[in-house]
Amino acid sequence: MPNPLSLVAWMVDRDRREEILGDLCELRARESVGAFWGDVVSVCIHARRVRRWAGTAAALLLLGLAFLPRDPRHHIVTARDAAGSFALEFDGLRVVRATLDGAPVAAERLVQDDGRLVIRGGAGSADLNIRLRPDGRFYWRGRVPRGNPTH
Amino acid sequence: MSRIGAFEELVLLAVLGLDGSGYGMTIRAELEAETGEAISLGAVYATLDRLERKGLVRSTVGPATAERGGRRKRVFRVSAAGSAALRAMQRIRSQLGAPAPART
Repeated sequence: MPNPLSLVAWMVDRDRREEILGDLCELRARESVGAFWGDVVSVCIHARRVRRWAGTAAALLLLGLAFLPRDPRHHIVTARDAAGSFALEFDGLRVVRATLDGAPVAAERLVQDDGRLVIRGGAGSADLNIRLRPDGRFYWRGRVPRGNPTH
Repeated sequence: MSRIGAFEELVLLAVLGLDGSGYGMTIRAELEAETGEAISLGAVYATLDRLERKGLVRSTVGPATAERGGRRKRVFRVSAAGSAALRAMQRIRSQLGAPAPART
């Protein structure tokens, strides 16, 4: 088991070390082992040095998260035409999910092969045909608003 | 004037009650006796540190004793600014608790 006074001596600031170690020395003779260790932990947690370390660690963690490389292959693109909006979620060049006007499209309605994606229309809606290019761009024929049938 | 929190006020009152003989451990004991609650020793040190930086308490290094493994203690005393802060808190409390003047 580590020596609690050595632990505290290492944790607390030098200018407070003597008084704190002296207090703990007095307390060790009076308190139960559990209560004494509770005091040791509370002193370590509140030590200015520990709080500075914790602050620095938290800042570094946040910085690390901010610069965490994101998978450039995974992205979501939203688009709009006269019939409404849709969103495509890409993993590489493959569309893994889609929404039409915010509503998720069932996986079986996504038909994809070699640079072409068809989102099968349901309930009388037309299919949405999309041409996927190897550089990540895509094109589609603009749909007409519902209730305006084309001839 | 420095604003003080509730725990800072309690620590200041404990330091005042110990009349210049209080140090970390005895201040904590005084607080526990008066509040009837367990008080973290680390919180007491951190608060004393803050109060000293605000100029509300002053500390001096006392003598070393064998009981403390030959280490000296740091004893605390409330400064003039600390007394003023306590009086201000007392005044605020009595004003807030006083009945509102009757409207005509």
